[in-house]
Amino acid sequence: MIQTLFDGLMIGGVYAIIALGLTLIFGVMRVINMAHGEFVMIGMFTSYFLFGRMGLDPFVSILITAPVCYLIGYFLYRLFVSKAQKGGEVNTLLLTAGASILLVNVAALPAFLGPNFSRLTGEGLYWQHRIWNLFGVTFNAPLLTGFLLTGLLIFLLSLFLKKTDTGLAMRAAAQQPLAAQIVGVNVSVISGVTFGLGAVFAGVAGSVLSTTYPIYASIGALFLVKAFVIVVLGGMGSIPGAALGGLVLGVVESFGATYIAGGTAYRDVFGLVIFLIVLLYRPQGLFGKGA
Amino acid sequence: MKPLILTVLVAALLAVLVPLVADIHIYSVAITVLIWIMFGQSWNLLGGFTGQISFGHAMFLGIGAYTSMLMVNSMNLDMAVTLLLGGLLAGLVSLIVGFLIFRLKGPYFALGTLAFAEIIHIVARNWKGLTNGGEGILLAKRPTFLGMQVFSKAEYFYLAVFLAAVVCLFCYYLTRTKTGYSFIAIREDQESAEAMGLNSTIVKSKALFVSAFLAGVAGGFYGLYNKFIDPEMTFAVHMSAEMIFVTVIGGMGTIAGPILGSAILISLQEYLKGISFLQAYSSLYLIVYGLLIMLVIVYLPGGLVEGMKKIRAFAGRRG
Amino acid sequence: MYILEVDKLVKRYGGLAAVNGVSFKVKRGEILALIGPNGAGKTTCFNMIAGATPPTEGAVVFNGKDVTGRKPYDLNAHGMARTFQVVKPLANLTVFDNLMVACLSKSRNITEARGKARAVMLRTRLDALEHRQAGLLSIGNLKRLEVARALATEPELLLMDEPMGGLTPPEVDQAIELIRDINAQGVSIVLIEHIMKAVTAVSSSIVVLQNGEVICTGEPAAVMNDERVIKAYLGDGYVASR
Repeated sequence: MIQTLFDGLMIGGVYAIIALGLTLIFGVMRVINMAHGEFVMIGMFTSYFLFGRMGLDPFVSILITAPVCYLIGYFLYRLFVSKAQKGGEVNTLLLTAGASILLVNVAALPAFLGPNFSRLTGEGLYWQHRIWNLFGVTFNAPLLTGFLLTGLLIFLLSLFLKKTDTGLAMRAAAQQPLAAQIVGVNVSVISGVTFGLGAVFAGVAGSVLSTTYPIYASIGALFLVKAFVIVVLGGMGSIPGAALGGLVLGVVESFGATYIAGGTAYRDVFGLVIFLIVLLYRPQGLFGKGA
Repeated sequence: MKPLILTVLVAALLAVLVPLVADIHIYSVAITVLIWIMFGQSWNLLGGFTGQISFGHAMFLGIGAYTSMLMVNSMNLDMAVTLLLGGLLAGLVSLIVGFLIFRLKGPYFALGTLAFAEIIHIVARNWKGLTNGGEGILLAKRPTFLGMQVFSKAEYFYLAVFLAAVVCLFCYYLTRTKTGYSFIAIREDQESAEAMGLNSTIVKSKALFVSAFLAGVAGGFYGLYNKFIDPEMTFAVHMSAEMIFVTVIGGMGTIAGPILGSAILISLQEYLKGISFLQAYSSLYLIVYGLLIMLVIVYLPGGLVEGMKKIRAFAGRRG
Repeated sequence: MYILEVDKLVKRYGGLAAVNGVSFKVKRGEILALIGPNGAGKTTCFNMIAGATPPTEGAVVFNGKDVTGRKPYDLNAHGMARTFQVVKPLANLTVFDNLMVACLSKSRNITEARGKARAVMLRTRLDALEHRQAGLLSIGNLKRLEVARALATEPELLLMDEPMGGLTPPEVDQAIELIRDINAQGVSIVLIEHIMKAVTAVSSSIVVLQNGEVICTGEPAAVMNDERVIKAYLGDGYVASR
């Protein structure tokens, strides 16, 4: 049982990072990013590509995945999302849905992922089948590393938001965009930075996951749903909510898979039902302020 | 020209001209366009005219599809009956969905409908006893519509023209009734409309019911035409998404929108499929589709209908 | 006798009581003005009466029936209508369509609604703007449309929230005439307004709010000279120096 718990925590950490990106984007810009899962996929693909070409370790490739995702996210925001925001929240949602379709299908081109599954495996992959035994628990090595990485990133994010000017500007824009503009915050630049940052988190998660998951163009949808459940549960815009929610979801999934026979088919239904119930009856989630 | 006359004319023209040039492939494209016109009009009623953007309309489509298919297979009922019953069942389910989800606003409503539809999707995939799960259901009988056999592509085509015409006319006239105007009022400013005496919950529920009904009817036809249904081609998210985008690209809130959107997108898809050197790039259509969605939303929110108005205005100024 | 009775209405937002025990009665057929400095709670009262916000405590009785917390469309069906301080036209529709929407709830079908809309349009002298897009109107015409839309719902009681805000002096005079006109046809009116000229011209009684509480009620002449009222608007210093 301890094993199941830790398995859940490890994957939960990665879920948390994905959800963190989504909740950041929502918190600062009130944008529901339907293309968020695609950034995970882009992270996965970039690591896969770099490993295939140069034998670059996926964790090291984060140094490249992060800026790639940041740039794609930033430009997606500046060229499209920012302009769609004038039309309202639903308009923006539709736009990000369109972006999702675009990104998935560009990735499905033969030049990139094509229509098939790929796996990041091979000689010289340090993480291949690697497990670590600590304190009597077996850890999936890449996921444990990913978990530690997540913790580090959350810590850095909190520092960033509290101690830097940009972070302060982001918090200001999140709370009162109009007032923030009046005091000189360039909300559109800050929004672009935030969107890029959210994409980075998703991409980093992708790099971590590339060691364990199969990689295909439409895998983003899987993670988007999980991220939504977490974000709504934890409170849209709440960072501790996303972190905690991620861990909770990971653990719940782990226990569900281990102990409920045949539960896997309806497992997604549980998540969705929880999502609906929270949305309807406690829309601010567990940690959010009033809706 | 009065819309009724225009529609009858266009329908008659299609019914006469298309069979002259059509082979199986052209019939196929034409029927697909007509089906998506119906799906688009159904979604448009709730989304374009009432302003409630649903991301889960596939659930109504699927309910209609399965109801019709199962009824034809097991009881050999006439299509007219099964389509209507499928629509009614979808409408009834929509009342439940609305009751639960209408308290949500804007994007949250969209997400709520998405979640609901996905739950039904997963249930359909797994409830083998009812839906035969992922294996789907094959059409086992030869259906009739009002007594006339519907089996060949040509016969399905005529029926499709008829149904699409009825759906478009229905939506057109509905938007000009008291009910239709109340839809529009809620879309424009719900609070203001409420202050003027319109019960927003009732108005939205009416819109959802009719929208779901139409989706169910069209879904029933879709299933019977394909002679096969499974959860992926009925309940999946991509069906909901396409219902939305066919309308958004064509022009939300107009009757011409879904017609234009469907015609252009489906034709584009067929055209791209036909180019031999693009075969390897099967996702190319979807790339164009995704890009088109983004460009329309940002630069042409009124869709192609708005685009055409602008072109006409521009041409008018020049001439 | 009383078309509207407001009984100890309270609205709390967290620890702040925006409205703290407001009571007043409106006689059938009269025009009652609700005045007070900014932030006194006047619009919040309206919102509670008109069903836009539920009261934290207190009751609203309309035509003898307790209607506390009922929805705006429900109240409208019973004969209460309101205008908004920041006008809420259906901006993308024409003036005529705006009026027609307002007539929908009281008409059996669209033809009847159209007929009624035409009548209201003429009565409120908006016919010249019939086909203009509502969002493009000037503030004077928007306010007029706002009143027309409320009238179109055939109310017994009309709540008007600063109907003259932003109007030029001649427009204010026209508005005063319109209000008198509406009242003459049997509609009781509760009016929030800052323009004292209008308030004294039309109202038969005044209720003064400050900090969420009623500090004075009565006939215009008496209220205008009441020390507490003067203090509320012009400050203790002014009163002391008189």
